Amino acid sequence: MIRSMFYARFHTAEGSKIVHEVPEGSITPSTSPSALRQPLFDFSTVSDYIIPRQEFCDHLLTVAISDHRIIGYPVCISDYDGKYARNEFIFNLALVIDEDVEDWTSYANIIRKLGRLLRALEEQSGFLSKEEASLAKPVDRSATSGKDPETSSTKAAESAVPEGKIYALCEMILEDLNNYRECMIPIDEANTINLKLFPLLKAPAPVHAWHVPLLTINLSAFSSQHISSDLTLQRVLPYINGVNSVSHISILADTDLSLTRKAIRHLVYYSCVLLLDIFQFGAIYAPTPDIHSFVTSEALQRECVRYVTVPRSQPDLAGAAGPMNETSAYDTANMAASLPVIEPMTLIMLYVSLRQGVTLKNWVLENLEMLAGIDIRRLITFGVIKGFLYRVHKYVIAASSALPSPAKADASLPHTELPGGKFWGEEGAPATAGSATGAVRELPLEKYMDGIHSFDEICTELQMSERAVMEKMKAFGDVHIIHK
Amino acid sequence: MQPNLSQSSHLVAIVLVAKSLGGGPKLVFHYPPKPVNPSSSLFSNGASASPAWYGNASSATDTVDGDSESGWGDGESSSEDDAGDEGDHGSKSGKGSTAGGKSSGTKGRGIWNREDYEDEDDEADLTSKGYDLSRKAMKNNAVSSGQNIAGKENGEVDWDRVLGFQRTSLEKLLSPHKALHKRKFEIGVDGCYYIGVPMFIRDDGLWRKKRRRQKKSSHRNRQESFVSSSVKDKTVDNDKEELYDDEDEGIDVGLPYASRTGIPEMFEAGYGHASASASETGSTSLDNDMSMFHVVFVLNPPALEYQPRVKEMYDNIARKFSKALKREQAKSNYVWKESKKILGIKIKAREKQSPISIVWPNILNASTLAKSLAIIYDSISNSKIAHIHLDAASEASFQIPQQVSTPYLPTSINPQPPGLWLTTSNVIDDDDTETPFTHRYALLLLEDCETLIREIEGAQVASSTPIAFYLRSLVPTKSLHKISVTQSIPIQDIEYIADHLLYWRRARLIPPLHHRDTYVVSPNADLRALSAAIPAYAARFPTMPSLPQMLALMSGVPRAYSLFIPTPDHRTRYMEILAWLMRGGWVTQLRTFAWVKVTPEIKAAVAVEMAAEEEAARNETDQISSPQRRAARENVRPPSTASNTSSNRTTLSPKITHAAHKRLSPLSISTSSPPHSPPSPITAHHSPTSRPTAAQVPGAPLFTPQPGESASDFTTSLILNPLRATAVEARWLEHIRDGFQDKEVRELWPTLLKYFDGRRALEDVAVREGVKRKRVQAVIASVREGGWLVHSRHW
Repeated sequence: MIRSMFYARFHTAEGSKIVHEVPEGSITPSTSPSALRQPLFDFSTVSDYIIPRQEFCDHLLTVAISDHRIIGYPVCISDYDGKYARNEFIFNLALVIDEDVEDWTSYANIIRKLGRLLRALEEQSGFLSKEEASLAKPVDRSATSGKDPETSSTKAAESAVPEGKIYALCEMILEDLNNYRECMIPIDEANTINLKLFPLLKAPAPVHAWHVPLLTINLSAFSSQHISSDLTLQRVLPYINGVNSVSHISILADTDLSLTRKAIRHLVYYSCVLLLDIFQFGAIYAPTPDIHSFVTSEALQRECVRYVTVPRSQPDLAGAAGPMNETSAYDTANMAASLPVIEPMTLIMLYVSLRQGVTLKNWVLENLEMLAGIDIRRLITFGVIKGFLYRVHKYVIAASSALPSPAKADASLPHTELPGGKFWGEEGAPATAGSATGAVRELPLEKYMDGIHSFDEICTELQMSERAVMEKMKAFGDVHIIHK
Repeated sequence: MQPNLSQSSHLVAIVLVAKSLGGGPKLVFHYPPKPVNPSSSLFSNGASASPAWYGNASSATDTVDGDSESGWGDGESSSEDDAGDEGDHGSKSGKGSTAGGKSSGTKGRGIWNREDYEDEDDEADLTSKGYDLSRKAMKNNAVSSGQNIAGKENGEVDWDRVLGFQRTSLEKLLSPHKALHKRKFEIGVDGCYYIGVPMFIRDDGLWRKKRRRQKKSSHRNRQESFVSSSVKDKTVDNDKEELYDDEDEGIDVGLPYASRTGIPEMFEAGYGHASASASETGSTSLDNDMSMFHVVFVLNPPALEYQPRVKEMYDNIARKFSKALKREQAKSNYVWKESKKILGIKIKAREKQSPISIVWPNILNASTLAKSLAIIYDSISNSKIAHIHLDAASEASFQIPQQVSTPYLPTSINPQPPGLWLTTSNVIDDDDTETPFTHRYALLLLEDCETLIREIEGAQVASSTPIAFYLRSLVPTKSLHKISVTQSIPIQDIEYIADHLLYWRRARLIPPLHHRDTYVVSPNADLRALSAAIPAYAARFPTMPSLPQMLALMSGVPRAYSLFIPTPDHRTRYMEILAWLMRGGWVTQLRTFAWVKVTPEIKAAVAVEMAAEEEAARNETDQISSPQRRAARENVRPPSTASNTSSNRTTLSPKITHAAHKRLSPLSISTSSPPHSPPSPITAHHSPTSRPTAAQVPGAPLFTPQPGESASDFTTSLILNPLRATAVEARWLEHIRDGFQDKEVRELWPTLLKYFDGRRALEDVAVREGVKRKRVQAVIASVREGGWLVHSRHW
């Protein structure tokens, strides 16, 4: 929240002075009844950073003082036509926020934009300097830097009603940004100020070919043009269903893999998508410490029951989407009447029995009875989404000490040799492996055997099943499998 | 949310500014000599540089779009006008690539100027007015026409521009108002942040309260006179540029001293210069005492990490280092003496026009203060501990504490740098504080014991023998308490050493390693480090199974570590391997967490019992029931109403789409229902009974205590927190306990109970309760066999 917005400029006679401030008394002490009782900070302490040396003008300047952060963008306009006294016009439209505001760079961007805009306005039409001249009685509530004690003592006496465009500007920006986080202010016929506080989002995690995207919001409600004009994204969207891997999606949508990855990364950036792993029965899952929150949270258990129950009222089973957009349509009462009820206790028992070293297939065989009426894929996915399960990935390390250098390995496998194909785990093994045998011999498998590449990655890139890869790798002799 | 901090501290440079009484501020020293210009990383969203652990660079798909990815990151970053940013980027690369040679370095700065002052340049040329501008324009012209000499003639040296700004401007910027004395100084210019703690002299002219002033100043002044005479040229030269001099003098700290008493000779000098015009500062300014010094740490953290980065730099380095310097200054005028030394060297070098590459090593050799700044910069930017010697007599160390462990696993959406020790073992601070919890932990040395001892013996021979003995006795398999008992070392001594080792990042507190415990390959292990670790491991354990072999062994179905040890004779060696693996974060202990499971049979039996008691109580005419029973009765009812409401809530079908908008990650779960805070009394009260009924088919008979109830009316549930069990739960627990045949189990049951809350590891019971491990394991095993526990294993 913006605590104060003020306009300061360098006055030839009075030094740095505050011309306008909103609310009153936030920067300089004021006797007006509506003013803040105490300024947010001592202006004279920081006046050097509000109106800095010329060299620091046209830079974003921030100062933290008295638990507040002042964000300003001092502008210095030089003009040698004698337009300005001392041939310079230095001003700063700055705002004050609390020091501990995490995401203050969005304010900084606004101030920078405003600074540059005002500079342009001033250069074009003397927007700032003219106003001051035109005001019959210059608003002299200003403080000055500690330099001029005379003026600072007199200024308190006057409490002229603030007026002028700049003051209105400060007031509107402060109000609108605090209330709506955006504003549109017409300046004159030609110029309008459009501001918006954009939240600062984390750089999106990289999306790899073996990730499985899962939408967290129902994008089908929007027509695809409204989501993005990105053609790749429009083609890719229908295939994002929490089952297909990125590489598989790129084949289905007939899009370039790297473009697909980028498009999905956009969705990650806006938190529209989660990244899961390729679901296979050969995979291993184990609980994380967050399992505690599942055991203790009834809400989570109820959500889980709704998500994993099978059969479901919607026709397509394998299809679409995550727990979010689909199940909300459910009428739980109906469901409860017609379907076998899953006890939360059963879910807990199932989740805690997942452990390292046991493949999903074996785990299913162990717990066949309890799994009645439960969609296993959804059960696992739910845990991964909520973070109380993690996929135990499989890595290979060749025992030979002569591991290939990564630089060499990079060049050895051009992407073009691997047209995308789908990877479905062990089921598709014989066919793929058979057709690929010829090519595989040339493929430098060693580069995957340094313990960095997970099996999901290897299989996706080679378009081979896990079993086929395993067989090829065993040919190298002393090979160690590490799960982590 | 836990910030996903990378290890680097984003330190760009360290700058020392000092101000003499009456003189202007001087930028005494900065390090590194040519700081990489601040990139506006704050506004590029930090996306441009992806760390290596983000993905496998070697995979085919990555190499295809590696370049365009970073570009995409920039475009995304919501800043409206990128013109300025791009300018910065451009100049950054310009300087960064050419920072080596001197002439090219100047050129790089030329580019920087050009970007920033595009508008002014032409005008400055036309009028040759504007003090700063004309100089800059001249330099730019010189550079563009390939004549570096033009710049030189101006008396300019290559340290006159620091961090892209004129040195004179920067020193003004970094000498704040006296109101900031001993307070946090924090300003930002574009993406670069200047953090410091300015230290001012007291009004009585002292640096510390009630300390007798050394009267050596006049003597020293004579010694330094050669410095001051040569300063003259420089200051006069500089003063021309100082556009705002007259304004700035108004807040000069020199003024207040005019009125102070006690040091007449200083009074004279200070007064004279504060009131006189700036051009007079020359001849004596360095003779005066210092009035302020300010060590400024320049950072450029990514925007999302801004607050924690600035805080850690301020708390751990800026504040502590400035305090240490102030102490030295008060003791022996250290800062000022060193500053004069440095400035003296710079002035000489300026006369000779020596390049920065020659001057800086000279300064580092001559001045311990400069050396210290360099050490701090080098160590802190590499996340190491900076150990510095200020004076001959005093040394100090500074560091930004590093995260030792994390309970969170990286996910594909929230990647985090690998290698950190994954555990929850040090998250829980105990409620029972009879003994400090460190006593129950073992100390895992992060270096080999003998290496450590050698390190210490090299430093201090005198006290080495007992310390060596202590260090050798610190085995990771025994808790500190146990070591103190067996080796008869006072626990205070051990604690002292432990604190020390922990601070110096030489050791880590872990639950004592035990061969019966289970260890698995840590999901957070940094397999990229494997190729380096394999030979190191092989050298350390030549005859043992190789590192990949060990990791492969420990990545199967979790088993007790003892099962990997072929014979009892191998145990010591294998435990050493385990310690080595733990040290590198390769493995982590898999710990067991359990809850008590209450079966319908128990519930039915208790319900029958309680109904009978209630009946009996009602029959008693005097109506005096014991408080427990009343409580019990009251507690039986509320769950039924609670279950009503909660089942209603279910039919309302809470919108999950809300949850979808939140980031779904382990972190978000932990924020919504923190796993480490005990469940509130309300949920503890409702949940055990309400959950099963809520899950029942609506319309089914709700839980009411009626005689003749059968087990089929109840469902299995867990007791989430036995220590805060409700009355009914307590009855259940009691009933379960009564069912145990084994006397041993019945005895230990109350002790064990508090570990059945899903947050305390069962592995800790033996160490914490001082019960024999075997006994605990046997009891837990028999309870588990009885089906009374639901347990989960994680780190």
